[in-house]
Amino acid sequence: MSTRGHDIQQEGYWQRIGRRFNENAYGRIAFRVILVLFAIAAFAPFIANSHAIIRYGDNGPEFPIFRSLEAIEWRFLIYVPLAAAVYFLRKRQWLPYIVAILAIAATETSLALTHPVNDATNDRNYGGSAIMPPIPYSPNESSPAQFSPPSWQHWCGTDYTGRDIAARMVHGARTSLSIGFVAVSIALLVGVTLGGLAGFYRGWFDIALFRFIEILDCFPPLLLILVVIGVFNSQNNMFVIMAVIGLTSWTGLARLVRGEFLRLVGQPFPQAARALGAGDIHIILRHLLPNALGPILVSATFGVASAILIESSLSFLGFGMQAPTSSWGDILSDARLYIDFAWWLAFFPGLAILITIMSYNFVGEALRDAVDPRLKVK
Amino acid sequence: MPSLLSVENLAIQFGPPDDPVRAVDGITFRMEPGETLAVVGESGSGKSVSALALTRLLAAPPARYVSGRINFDGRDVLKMPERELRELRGAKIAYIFQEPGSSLNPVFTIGYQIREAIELHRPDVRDVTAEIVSALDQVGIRDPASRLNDYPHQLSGGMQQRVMIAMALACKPRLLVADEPTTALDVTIQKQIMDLLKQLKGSTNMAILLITHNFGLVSDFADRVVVMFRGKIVEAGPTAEILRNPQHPYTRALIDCVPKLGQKQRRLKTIDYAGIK
Repeated sequence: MSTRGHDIQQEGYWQRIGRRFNENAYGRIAFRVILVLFAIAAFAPFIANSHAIIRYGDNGPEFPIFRSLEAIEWRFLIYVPLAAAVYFLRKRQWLPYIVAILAIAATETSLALTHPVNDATNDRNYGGSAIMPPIPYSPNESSPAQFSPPSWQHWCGTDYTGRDIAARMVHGARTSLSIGFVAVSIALLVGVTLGGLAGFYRGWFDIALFRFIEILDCFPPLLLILVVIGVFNSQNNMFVIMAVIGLTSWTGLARLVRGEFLRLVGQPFPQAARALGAGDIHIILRHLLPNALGPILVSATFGVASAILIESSLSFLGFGMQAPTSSWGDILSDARLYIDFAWWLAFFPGLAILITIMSYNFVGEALRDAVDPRLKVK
Repeated sequence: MPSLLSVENLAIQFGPPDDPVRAVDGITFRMEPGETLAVVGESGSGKSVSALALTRLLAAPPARYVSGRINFDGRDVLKMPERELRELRGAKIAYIFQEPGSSLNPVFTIGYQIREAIELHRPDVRDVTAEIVSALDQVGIRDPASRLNDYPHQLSGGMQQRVMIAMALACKPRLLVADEPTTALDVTIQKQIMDLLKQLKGSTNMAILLITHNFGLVSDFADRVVVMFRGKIVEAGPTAEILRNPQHPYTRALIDCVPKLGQKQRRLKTIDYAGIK
């Protein structure tokens, strides 16, 4: 028989998951919603800022918005397109890498030499000679217009010191979205690794790990987080908060993965793979994990929701992100004193959290359906 | 000339050391290249355990290899390090199992799974897809190129077992261990699978170790037969001879259990263990 392989279409594993995911309308829309939310978070200073994007003053055109950017925002603005450019031009041998190194050196030197100008002025009075961002307010800019309800001027109203809620939410999206994403990634990494190893090898490791998990689970998670933050005296550090939330919420995932692995190891196909000459790592990564992926993904999307909510409880208790950094949970907890007359203070951040969590859940469910070939795509 | 496989006085125990269960109790047999050997016995007689032990697939613990030697191609399997065992499994000794449906990974296409087998042992194959297609073609799957993207649950039991056989043959092993390959299939498919194995036996110089509880499969398939009972080999010899003239009472009882054509029988015979020991 004369067959040449390249005439035959064979669909790859990830290719098929991508195709099946795209067949699910809910998942597709929810995934785009999440992308939009992340884009809003990434470009927050260009969406909500009291400084103009372009201003025509006495000295010609000025770009005050760029003067107010922090170093990390500059890095993001330069390095992300740079990485993309290097990726697409990587076949041109060394040239893109040289350019990239030069660009990094130039950026870092100028960042070290300059400081962001964060004056309290705003450019809203320039009228026609300035182009403002869509929301012409900075997140921490007070104004005399306290508790003004949603209007064309303040889309989501203002709070007790007259800060614009829409601007605070746009900037707070950075905290809330990255905490949800990073905390769950940490929990996934720890939970899947430990739970998988325990389920596969059993024995003393399994016993020791699960007694430890049972001890951890005895503490209310919030209490555990507060203790860790207290010990490291690190409130208001977003990375510590992400790590702490991640490191206290992996136990459920570990339990789930261990259970899945125990069930799968008992089935004949891992044994058949071993009889074909597959080693432990091969069996774990290519046979057991893909079969356990559905429940893991669903559980992870719920984890995102709970991480965002845990961060808001922390802010509420005064251990989370504090001013000047805002988060959705922080705005929500500020609203509690005024809820009886200023509904917008709680409504909009609550809506943002709801939309995010719902989108993650839809994406999780669509992924689960896409991963398991026995399930029909809805 | 040395045998392809020789098992000497192999004993395997389970359970606590002070009160062990001897699943395999000192068995000895040989296989020559290209030979077909059938191991016959009822459930629990130790035949599957012996088969898995050939490449040390039984995890120890709980199993304990108490004594004996397994020589494959001049090397002692019981003393091999894990690395060499992985090269032995699949590449030199391949298995097909009883339940084809659950022996295939449910979330991967059959093309992907055969590719995996080839990539594990034959990294030098250039056109893997063509190799997969010819493997599927070899086991009698019609239109193999369009079956590649099928999932195991989309195939019938007989087709699944054919895919398992294709996977096992993809690495051109020297010994194929078929552990009750037809038990989970219905009778007409059993016949097809046995015919396929017989045809493959003719076209490759591969030795086959057939494990079964069904004497009916043995008669026109195996060159030699080994009968196992309670972990021991009670009788061994050329197939025709054993079928014609069984010596051990257990063998006789087992052969009598197979209903014969043209013979009027009210009740099917069962084994009367009291008469054996």
